[in-house]
Amino acid sequence: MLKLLSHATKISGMALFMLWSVGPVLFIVVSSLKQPIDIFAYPPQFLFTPTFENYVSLWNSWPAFFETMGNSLIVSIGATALASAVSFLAGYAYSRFSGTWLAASAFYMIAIRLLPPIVVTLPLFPVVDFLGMSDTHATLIVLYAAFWVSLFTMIMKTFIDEVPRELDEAAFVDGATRFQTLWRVILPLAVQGTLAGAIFVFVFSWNEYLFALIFTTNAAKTTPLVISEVMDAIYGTDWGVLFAGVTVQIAPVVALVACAQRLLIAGLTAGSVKG
Amino acid sequence: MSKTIMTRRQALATTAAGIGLLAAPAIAQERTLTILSHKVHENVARGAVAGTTGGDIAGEWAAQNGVKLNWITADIDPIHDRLQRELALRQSSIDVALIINKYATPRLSRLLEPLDPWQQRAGIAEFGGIPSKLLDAVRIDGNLFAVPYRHATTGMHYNEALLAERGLSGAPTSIEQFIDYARKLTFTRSDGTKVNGLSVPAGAGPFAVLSLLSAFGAEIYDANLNVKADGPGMVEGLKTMNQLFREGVLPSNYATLSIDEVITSMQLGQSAMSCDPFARFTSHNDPRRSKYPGQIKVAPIPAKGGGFVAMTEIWAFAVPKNAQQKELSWSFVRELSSPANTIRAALNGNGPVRPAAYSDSRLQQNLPYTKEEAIAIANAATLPSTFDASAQASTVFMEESQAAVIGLKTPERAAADMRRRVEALIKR
Repeated sequence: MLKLLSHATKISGMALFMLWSVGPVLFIVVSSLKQPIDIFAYPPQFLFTPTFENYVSLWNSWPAFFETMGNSLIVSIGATALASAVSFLAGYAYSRFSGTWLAASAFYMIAIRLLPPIVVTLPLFPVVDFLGMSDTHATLIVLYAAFWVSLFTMIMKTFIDEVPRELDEAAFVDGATRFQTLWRVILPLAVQGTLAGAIFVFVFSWNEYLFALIFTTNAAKTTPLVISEVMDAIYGTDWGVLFAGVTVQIAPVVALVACAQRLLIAGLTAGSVKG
Repeated sequence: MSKTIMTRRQALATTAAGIGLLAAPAIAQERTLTILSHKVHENVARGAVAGTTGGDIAGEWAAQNGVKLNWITADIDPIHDRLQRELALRQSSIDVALIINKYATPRLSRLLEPLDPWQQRAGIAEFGGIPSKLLDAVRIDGNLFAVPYRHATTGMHYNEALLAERGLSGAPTSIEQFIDYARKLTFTRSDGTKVNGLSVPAGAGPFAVLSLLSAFGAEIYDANLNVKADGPGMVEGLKTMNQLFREGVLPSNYATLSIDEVITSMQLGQSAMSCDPFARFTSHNDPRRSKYPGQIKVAPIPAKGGGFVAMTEIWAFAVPKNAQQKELSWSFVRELSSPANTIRAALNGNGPVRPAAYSDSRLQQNLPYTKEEAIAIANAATLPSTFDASAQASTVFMEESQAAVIGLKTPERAAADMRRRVEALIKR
């Protein structure tokens, strides 16, 4: 009896946890398939005939939503690539070398990360304007990458620390340059960390709002800005269209994480020192 | 290990070249006019919403002048954040901005182009058709720095179906009757829907709440910045609202109620009446979203002792002082502000700043509330923003009025604190 009670408690706890985590996302996705009039209806309608009306409205009323997805993709891929490259190299430096200046730079990097982003935008806006880089993908790519480089570097340092130095030395003995060692020995063994960090950067860049709002207008405008416009403070939000937009917005991220899950979980470094 | 895929130098060069390519300015070479506004302004100026009949006013001007329109849209606060950043630059890329009067402070006005000289040189047709109280909202020290384009004036929305369900009919004609209606309309329907008699977006700003309180004679401060926040009208209004909150007439989440929540609750019959701008009529009766299309009506808010009250917010065209094509900017503003185009924009869903527009038969045919809105705007007041801390004063009003309504403070204490805090902001 006691065992049964314990089992029931566990299942209830798990169900509650699932409801807490998945509930809001499920609500958005399901609501996007409802008639707008039924979304907040009372009593709530759990059984309904799905409709794509909200997606059609999104397509017709907010063409900018889909147009800006291209910008979001360019910026997210660019920022992820840049942050991954820089963080991998920096992580290697912090892992394999030491010194006062390196330690100071690590401290500085973390300290800068602690600044609230809105504060950073104040001096940055005139600088970006002066450089003629307002409303360009490059600005967002550099900003997003810079925002994540500190944390990503520390992730990479931890992963590269796990790669035995003997492998570096063996590569050097074989005549490899440092760059070849990095590319052919360290990177394959640290790919799991790189991928984890890259996903963080991608998801952040895909959803980021503040920097995009301040540094873009039209040419590099990203999708979250359009979503914020759908949340209309003048005529009121069209919830169905909003939920359709959010569903489309989260779909690539969910797909990415689902695809990368195997790589994230797999212990790619396992056995690397066993020859 | 002799085979190299890419050298470090090559990798760096490729990265730098890639960034350089992406950094290439995306500015077109043709003459472009950049407008910063809310999406709604683009829609009404371009007739972009299906079913509207005013046509593409801005597009026609652009075609005549060989100009490409670059419309930057965002929500209300982000627009003003962006504008202020742009105004701080040596040269702004914004040619025309639509600003809301609550942010039209002296500090902002100093960074905007004075428009009196432009009006004297190449004036907007029949400029006197725009009421002086709307123009006063965008004047500081007698200097015009923006041209009103859209107004949002509050009214009293009521659901006729719910009124009928409770044995009531027609809009309340006095504030006492309005309160009585709100009480009677607070009930639970047969399907279990709990109906609040009255909703006000108290969490979204001072505008709607102040409209209701002004029915009792409440005022925060007058045009000369004399603070009147602890006047008998404010205290009585807060006492009444506190009573309504305790009775469950106002929703239990009163202090955080957003515009969206009020609209949705009206659409679904979860609120029977609301104080909100007239333009919400369209959302309330939208057949896609409303359970009561055509049954939610709007009327002016009755004032204590007779007459009507309303608050109005104004969106106005402004030209940054650091804009680079001011001739073109003014030409655009002048064209969109003409009497004929004011009516056309109204047909596209704009709140017309020229009262004469309400006499237009096409508008009367399209909008069933033109007569009521004309009455409201004739009685409407604006919240002056003629001191730099006016936005903070609005926040103080919200904090203190919410504290009184939900019972954290007595109405007298909240009103006294409001007066003290607002006075300090004005003196600052």
